[in-house]
Amino acid sequence: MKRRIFAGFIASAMMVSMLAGCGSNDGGEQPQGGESGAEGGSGHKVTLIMSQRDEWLSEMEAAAQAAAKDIGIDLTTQDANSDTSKMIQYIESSVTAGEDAIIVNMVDPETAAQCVEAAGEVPVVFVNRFPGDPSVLNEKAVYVGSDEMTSGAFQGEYLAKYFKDQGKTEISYLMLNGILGQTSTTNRTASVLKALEDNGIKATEAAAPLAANYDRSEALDMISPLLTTTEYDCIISNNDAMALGAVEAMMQQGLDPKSVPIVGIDATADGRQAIKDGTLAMTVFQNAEGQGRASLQAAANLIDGKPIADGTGYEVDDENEFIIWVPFEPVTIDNVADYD
Amino acid sequence: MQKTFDKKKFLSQNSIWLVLIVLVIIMGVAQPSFFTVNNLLTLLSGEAVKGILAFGVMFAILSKGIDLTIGASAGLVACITASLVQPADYANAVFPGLGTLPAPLVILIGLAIGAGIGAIYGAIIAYTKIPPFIATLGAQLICRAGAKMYTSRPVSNLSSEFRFLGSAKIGPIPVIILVFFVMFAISAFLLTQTRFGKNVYAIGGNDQAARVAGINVEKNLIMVYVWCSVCAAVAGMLLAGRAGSADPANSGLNYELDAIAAATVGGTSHTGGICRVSGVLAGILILGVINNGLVMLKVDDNMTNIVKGLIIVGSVILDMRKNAKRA
Repeated sequence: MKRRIFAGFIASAMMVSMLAGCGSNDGGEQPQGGESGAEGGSGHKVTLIMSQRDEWLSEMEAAAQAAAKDIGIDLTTQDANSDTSKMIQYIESSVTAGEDAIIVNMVDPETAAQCVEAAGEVPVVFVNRFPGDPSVLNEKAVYVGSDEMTSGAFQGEYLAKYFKDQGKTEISYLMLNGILGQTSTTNRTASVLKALEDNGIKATEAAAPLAANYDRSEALDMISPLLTTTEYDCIISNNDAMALGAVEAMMQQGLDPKSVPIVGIDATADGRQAIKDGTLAMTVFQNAEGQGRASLQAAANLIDGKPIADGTGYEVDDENEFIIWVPFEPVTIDNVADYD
Repeated sequence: MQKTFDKKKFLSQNSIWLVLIVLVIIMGVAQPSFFTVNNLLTLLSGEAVKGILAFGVMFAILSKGIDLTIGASAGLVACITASLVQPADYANAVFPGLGTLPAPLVILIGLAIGAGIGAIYGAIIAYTKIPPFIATLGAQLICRAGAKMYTSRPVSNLSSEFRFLGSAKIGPIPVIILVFFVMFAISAFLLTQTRFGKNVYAIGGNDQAARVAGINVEKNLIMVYVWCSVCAAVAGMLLAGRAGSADPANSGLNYELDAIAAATVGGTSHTGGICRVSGVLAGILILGVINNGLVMLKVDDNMTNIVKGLIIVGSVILDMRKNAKRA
């Protein structure tokens, strides 16, 4: 009997604390939206659906939230947790909730058509991940982001120049892939290899492709056994976190990370610090704030019927007026200070 | 009753070590640099974190339960402790200006958080009798979300004092390997030399019988999950120390599955009541040899996972046949 009462007590305590948690959350968000609406903004309601919340995407989300406050938009954000069906659900419930526009950071770029279909009459802004089928883009569905094929290209051009200066045209590399099968991974890897080839470097892979899930400690564990047992001229990583895992692995093996060029993508705070330390040779800056702000501005423009790039500070694509490009930028020791 | 050496019994109980030895020989022949001391140290450092999680989860499995929380709770503890050892002048710190707390204090805080988390879901399992799978699945979601709410970006730039356990070396030996073997010794001691260990065996074998025999089942179950969670806390702090960074979204992600796999391959029976700590050590090493060896043999990642999957399923089939014969 006593045990029953205790169990009941625990269960009810859990429930109460959960409800309390939800309550305080709602309480925290609701007045905020109301406030910004009352500040004399447009009062539009927009939902931003995130594919997931990693470091970079969180930065983009924060920028969109800041922009929403500035423009006076009531912004709600949801996290699809890398689940496409959840993402579609969020789009459908946003439509039901009467949102004026939906910003989608797609889990899987091949589902762009389903996103547009689920949104119905509500305008959609795709951000960061480019639709697999660009024909879905029109005056009700636009794209804001960077061209993933250029991020790896910057890495490839840097490495090509580095090795040409040494008089080398044949190199071997260790490649740290993100998540095998994911579009950003595929494109980053493909574009760096293509750029090496285009610049006259014959590159061969020193090991099997490593897939370290964009994670620092997984990259560390995976690359450690290879560092002293294989021949390689450089380490190419799909993001900074894994590149830093490689740096850490080299230091723990008593190797000098400066002895081979290690290149990443993202220019995170840690990545920029490593550039300053010289342990990371170069990284590619993908403008999280630019993409976040521009996507929100584009959503507001769609609702108001203005040209989509108005006030974003960026240009639409030469051939497709429904694409706003936020350019990638290579970061090395020479210009790293500009990104702090 | 004379105590003679039973060769058959010895072989059947330690067949897992034979599997390990065979694997090591195959790898060594295929890739000679596998046999270097340096690579052995690399292998052990790489498996230490998941191995410590396995030392925890084997108690849960032994008690006929499971713990799916450990990867997420390791990540949560990693993020919290890492945030307490960032330099005061670091602009991207979680608490700018807090400065670096002394590492021993932070480690105690980490252990306390671990024990606290385990005590909560342990009590829920013990007193509500809901399946541990469900309770720990819920706790996993809460811990992972908690880590992401605590910080949205990786916590890095950690004090070298805090990173000592994860990344320093004493002579040629990485400290993380020493911690791994200390945790092994504590687990072995708990399991074989204490009343708690014997109680867990009894509860896993038959909890009604254990209760009749006067064992406080609830208290012991709570202790099982406290121990699981303390192991997770240790693993989390090592993870942060080793990589020099704790990532709320990725640190410890799915590590519970590797730990459960290691404990299972090591002969811990999911029907409860059967577990040998030396077997679990062998299980950890087998998965380590596969991870390390196949990378060196240039086998691609998907193939590595297929091999791991086959070994996990195969070992349980063998084990069930063995245990069925015994019974």
